[in-house]
Amino acid sequence: MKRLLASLVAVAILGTGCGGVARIQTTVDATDRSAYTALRGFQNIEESAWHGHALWPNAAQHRQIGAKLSSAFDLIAKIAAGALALQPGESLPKAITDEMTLLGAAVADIVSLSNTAPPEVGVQAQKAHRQVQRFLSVTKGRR
Amino acid sequence: MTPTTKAPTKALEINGQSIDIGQIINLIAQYGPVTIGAVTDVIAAIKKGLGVVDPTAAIADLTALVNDALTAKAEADLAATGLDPQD
Repeated sequence: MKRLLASLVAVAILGTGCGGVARIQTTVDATDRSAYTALRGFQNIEESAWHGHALWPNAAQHRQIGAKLSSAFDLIAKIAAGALALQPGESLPKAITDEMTLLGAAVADIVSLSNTAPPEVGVQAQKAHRQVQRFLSVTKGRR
Repeated sequence: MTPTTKAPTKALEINGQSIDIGQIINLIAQYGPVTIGAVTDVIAAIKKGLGVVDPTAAIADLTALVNDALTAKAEADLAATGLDPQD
């Protein structure tokens, strides 16, 4: 783990001296953060509703949303780390594209699970969906 | 953020201040497995430091973000077990 972190930190530092690499990293990094923040915002609302004994979510929805969020959080970190380690022009490995597919599916499921939620929850779910889609789009194009 | 200083010749020094990369790495490493954005947060913090932001503040921001990510992950995992009490 320390070796991985050190290598990524080194890539980040070196990137500041190389405009193209730095721009790619900045873009991927920024959208990664936005995707995480939006999902975290949704999670805060959902957790508040659950612990506040609201009608939504029920136990099954809360459990499923937890599983999807846990998966999504892991996938965001994996995809971003993988994309940041690539050089400009280097194709995304299949492992990363597979993870991107899984992330997209997980967030789509979260939106579906929020269909019966109050409007403000749905709005936050849609926001998370948009931010994740932007993250995936930027990572795919890495620009 | 638009950097107002050029990239330093010594990557770890900005305006006489240094970013302790080892401190950042140790900070993250002690949390164990990579959690949400932990790695990319390290990079973001360094970028902030390479701009004009106080590196100490950047590390503090990083700590807060990592803690938040750990909380988020723990909450999600607990909910996924089906054993998350409502009270």
